[in-house]
Amino acid sequence: MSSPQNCYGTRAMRKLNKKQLDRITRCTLDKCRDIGLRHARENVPFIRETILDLKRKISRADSAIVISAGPSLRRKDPARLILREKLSQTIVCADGALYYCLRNGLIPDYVVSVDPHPERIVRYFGDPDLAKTPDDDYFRRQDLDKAMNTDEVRRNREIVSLVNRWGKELSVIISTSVTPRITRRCIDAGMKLYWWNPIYDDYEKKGSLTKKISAITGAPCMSTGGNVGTSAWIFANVILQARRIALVGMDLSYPPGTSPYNTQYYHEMKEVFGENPDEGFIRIYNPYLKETWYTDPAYYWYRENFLQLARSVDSETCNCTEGGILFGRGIRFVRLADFLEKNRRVTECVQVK
Amino acid sequence: MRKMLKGTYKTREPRASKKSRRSASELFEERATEKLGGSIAFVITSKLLWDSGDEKAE
Repeated sequence: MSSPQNCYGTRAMRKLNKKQLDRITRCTLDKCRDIGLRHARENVPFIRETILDLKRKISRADSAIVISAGPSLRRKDPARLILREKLSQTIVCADGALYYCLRNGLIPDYVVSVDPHPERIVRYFGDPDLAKTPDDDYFRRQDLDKAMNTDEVRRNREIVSLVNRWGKELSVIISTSVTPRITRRCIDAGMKLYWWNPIYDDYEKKGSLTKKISAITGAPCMSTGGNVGTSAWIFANVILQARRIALVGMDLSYPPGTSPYNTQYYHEMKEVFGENPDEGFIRIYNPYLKETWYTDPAYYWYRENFLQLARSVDSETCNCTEGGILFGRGIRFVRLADFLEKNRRVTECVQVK
Repeated sequence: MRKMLKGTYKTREPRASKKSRRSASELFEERATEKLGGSIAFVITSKLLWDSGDEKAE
């Protein structure tokens, strides 16, 4: 199948206003409500320990690195730098970045999973039933991790094998919203599971879904930011209580020159924008990179959510992605090497004292 | 004066509603934002971590 030509440069969507962002908030809740509740009920028999149990067991982390699966993970390949400093960092990865980490010899301390999609997400853990899963071009089409979009069957076998090999050393920060297929996969691989519920809506309001799911599961509820990468960052804040947090692979956008065909919402964009799906993208100039990156409405929503959240936490957040559109008040946009260097000096200073 | 300018006949077409006067690009954006939801729900709440059984949670 040939990919449509990159046709950026004609019309583009404007930055979204509050009303439009609120609409995405409502649409996302509508999309997740039933499936989140169903998965929560199905996951109840597996719930043993929660993220609050984990919080009681561990001491406060000085610094953490949150690894997301944006395109900069491949472009910047931060694993080598992180490995050099691994001992002094707590590594939290989004499920989508697990394969990248393991194949580069980087064993994360925590893997976060939250997306309720019934078939796609289990692939990040290696899907032993891939042959029985309906065909889906999601991974083949996307640029997010090149290693995932070529020779799917062989790659899946490789992920299954890597996750089986390292499972016992991994702790999964697992949301009750995920399909029980992920739950069983994590248990089979020997991972430790720490449960939580997403905060779906205002838990203080009557008839709240969050409150209902909390009563069903008995697990604590954590804010998500709308996606797994931001959930991982929130986890680093509220459970690890990390003082300094570096983000890598958190682009929330696509690099200049990416074809719409290789973006996450291509089919949806085509449905809305017909033959010109590129018109649904929003252009954001990144003054640190001096480049214009492209984002779609959902990723733009993630960015605005993150910026709001960043103002409400005490930790220092450094975006070390070296790409993307996540910059603004509460976030320092710095190179990963500089973060690690500064962090090393701070750690040495504390040790001397 | 307003009374004088009111007119003495009724128009055939009803006045365009506020909704139909929205620009094509607004409608376009409305459809796009409806279709393209995020991975998981999110709302700003007073706490990032909330436990119904323990009000001490942050």
